Amino acid sequence: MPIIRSVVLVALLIASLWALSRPWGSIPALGKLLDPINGVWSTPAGTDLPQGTITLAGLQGPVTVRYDERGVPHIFADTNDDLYFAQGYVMARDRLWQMDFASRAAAGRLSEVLGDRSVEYDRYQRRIGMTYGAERIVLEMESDPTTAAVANAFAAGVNAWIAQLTPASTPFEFKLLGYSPEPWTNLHTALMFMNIRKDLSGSSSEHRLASTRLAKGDAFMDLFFGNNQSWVDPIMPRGTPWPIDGSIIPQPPDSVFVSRSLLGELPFQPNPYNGSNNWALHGSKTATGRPLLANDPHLNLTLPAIWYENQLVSPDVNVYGVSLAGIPGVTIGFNRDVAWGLTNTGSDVMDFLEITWKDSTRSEYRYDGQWLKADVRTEVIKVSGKPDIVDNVLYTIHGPVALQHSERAFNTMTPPDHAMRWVAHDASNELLTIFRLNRAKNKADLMEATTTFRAPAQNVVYATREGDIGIISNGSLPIKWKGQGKYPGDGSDPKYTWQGFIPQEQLPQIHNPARGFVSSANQHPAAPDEYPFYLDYAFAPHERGVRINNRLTAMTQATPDSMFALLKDSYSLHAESILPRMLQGIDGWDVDSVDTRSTRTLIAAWDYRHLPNRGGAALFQRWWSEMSNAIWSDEYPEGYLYSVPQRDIMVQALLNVPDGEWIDDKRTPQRESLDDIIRIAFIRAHKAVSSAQGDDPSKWSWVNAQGANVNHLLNLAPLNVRRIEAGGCAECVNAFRNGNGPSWKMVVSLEDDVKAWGVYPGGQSGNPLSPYFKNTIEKWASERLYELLYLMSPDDRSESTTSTLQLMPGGNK
Amino acid sequence: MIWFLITTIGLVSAYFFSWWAIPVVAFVVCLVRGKTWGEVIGQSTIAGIIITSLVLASTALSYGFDRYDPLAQVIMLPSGLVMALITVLIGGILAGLGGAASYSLRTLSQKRRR
Repeated sequence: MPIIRSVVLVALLIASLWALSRPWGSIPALGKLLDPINGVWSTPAGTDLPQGTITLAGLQGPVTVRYDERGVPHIFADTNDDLYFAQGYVMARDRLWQMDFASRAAAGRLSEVLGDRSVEYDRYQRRIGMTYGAERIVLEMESDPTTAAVANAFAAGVNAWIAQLTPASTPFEFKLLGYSPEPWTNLHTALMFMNIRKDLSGSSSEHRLASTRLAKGDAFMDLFFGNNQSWVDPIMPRGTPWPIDGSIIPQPPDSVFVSRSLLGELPFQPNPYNGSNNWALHGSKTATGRPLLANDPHLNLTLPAIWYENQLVSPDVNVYGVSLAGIPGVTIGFNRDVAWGLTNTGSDVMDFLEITWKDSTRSEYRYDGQWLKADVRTEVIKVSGKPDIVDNVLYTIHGPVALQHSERAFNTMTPPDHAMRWVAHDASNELLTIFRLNRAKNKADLMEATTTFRAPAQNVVYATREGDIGIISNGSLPIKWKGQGKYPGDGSDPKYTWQGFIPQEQLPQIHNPARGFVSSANQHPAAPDEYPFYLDYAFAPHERGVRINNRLTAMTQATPDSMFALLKDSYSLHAESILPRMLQGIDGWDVDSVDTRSTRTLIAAWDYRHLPNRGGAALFQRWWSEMSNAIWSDEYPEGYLYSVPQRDIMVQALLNVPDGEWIDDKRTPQRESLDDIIRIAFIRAHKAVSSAQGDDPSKWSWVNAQGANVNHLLNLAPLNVRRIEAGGCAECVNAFRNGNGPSWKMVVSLEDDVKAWGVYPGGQSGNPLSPYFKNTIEKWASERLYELLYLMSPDDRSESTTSTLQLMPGGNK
Repeated sequence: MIWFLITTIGLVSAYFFSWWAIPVVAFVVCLVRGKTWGEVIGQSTIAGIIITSLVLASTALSYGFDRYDPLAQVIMLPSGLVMALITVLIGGILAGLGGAASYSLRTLSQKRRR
């Protein structure tokens, strides 16, 4: 009996320790997590910002970091090496887990920490060549002495913070997921560049478009998927001269290639929410007589945020703005002489090319009449608690083959046996652009800086203290024949191979235009019938661009307040253009089954603004969505791949071709008119919104309809911020909708002493218990922006910062 | 006095290693000094509770346990206070188990010797 008792007790003790030290399904290892000394309890919950003196091996001289009341570091160093070292150090201090996790996600290494649930995601990231592309960025970055030094110093700074980690300073998420950060390298920095390349240029609709064309024919495609809409107000105004030699533009093939795998898997879908606004006003239109610049890049909104706000000062630079977490320098910002902002150009920089294999071994493929050998890149996916997975990825001269016919697509997104020609795989040195932009003093410097920024292509808007304004659609834009890349191409035919890139001086651009402003909202960079090069068949719908241009045109004596108001504009031109026709459809219509009188009153009185309390916005968006579904869902067999026309093109078609055969619901014996569809959709929308928000339309709100959340990167519900009282919609200038929108709002006035305002949703700290984790969301949702503290020296306005951290050289490297 | 020994040594050990040191210390102390089942289990458990309570008091109490509510909710506990109670409970149970396991071995070896 005593023996049994001893065995049971010892076994119980060991079993308890074992059970507490390992995760169970989604429940983390509670023993490690609840450890009162090293676990979750050690997470700092106080309000203190770093202060005092810290000795760091690797620094050459002292660095002063002053933190302002929002936890923004203002870094003063005597050399650039120390500057970027310190930036890496303070950024890692605030965002280490985010940086580590995002770089793992880019590389397809999440399974190392999350286990086998993320194997397919990892495989996909490797198949599309994320690390392959990052390795090429590293080569370029390290071959330039300037950027090599910046990247090395930044990585050393991050690693200096990692070396000092204590249980208390280790981010909560590492404890939750049960892993430790790995040393930061230049490859990690390059992977962060790949993340943004994928986010902004990693989508394609060509496979789906080809399928739509197969079903509906060319006339339908021209009507709904053409690229020359008269209502578009391009970034470069119509009539801009383009003195370009068109002889380098290739001729198209005689017929359009039809892919063999058209009815296969679903392809990539463009993220309809990616988009941004930027503009600059010439001094002739501002109250101060000096240029004003504004920018709000629309990206996924997460906690921690993608941006990290900081000021970097050394003898040759004093720049303020936001950095992409994990990337040195300031990506969007200003210095004393210039300001710049970015929006995504959105040109087609990813083509799928069908590969003709010689045989089932897929070792050779056809190109230009020859059989070429495919390269194999072996990827080893390490899986926590499981054996490694080896994956051989085939590479052609076009790029990687992300999916083979026998395989199931990850998230059903890639066409099988197609190679990706993606500009994100090309070597380039965006870090050099950032370095030069940060130090630019005038227009010439800015233009010089843009020459090394290749991907993702960006509309770079700028303003200078000298009074210049301008914009350039900048990056590697392939030279294509008209329509090239709209549908999947023939990978064996050189006609589908890109013929180089549009020369820098021939990229769409305009400087100091007569109208006194420049702007972009992801619309066509230039009018397709005027600009000689083919860029893409579609860009963002026109509404945001037109709205911005209308308001900028009307502005005189503009002030920063005018800019704030425009950034906050939630007026929908889309609603203005189609809602009157929709209301006409239900005018005088007597519906017996449902009492819709209050709903009709609500929508008729709505002012097209997507403010949080506007119930009309909730009904309109649902009504439009139901109309779109009613029109398109019957056009194709169930499960068929098809593309839905862009919003503004559909509006024009409804207004101009109201008896189009595509309006009829082909599943019913009678022929439905547009009014019939409007009414069917209205009842569905009325029921849906009533069901979600109650029967009293006076209590409906837009904020309840659209969600308005900003979630933690891991979507941990208790850390998410729900139901933010902010307006906005996809087609509004203020393009906030659930989880996506203005990720950084910035306004800069290029006066003798530069003034600037900015805000992003979230906070500087990645620590969920820190008061700086989500402290800026309320401000971001309001009309106002923070005035940004641009310091000239470590001692400037000492009362304006709340703590100072002194970094001193010393110790062992 | 077993509880005092475990508390003192356990507290220091936990800071140097992790709280896994608490049941180990309880195991060792009870192996050497344990006299009765009641004393071993009771005092080990109390020592574990005291150690975790003291550590929580020094780290989290000043902020208030409610500051930890979001992290508690991430692991599906209702609040920081409940997470604190569970932490203390685990500390007590592990120490109690450590003491009981070692005392059972001690009584077993004593019987064998007799």
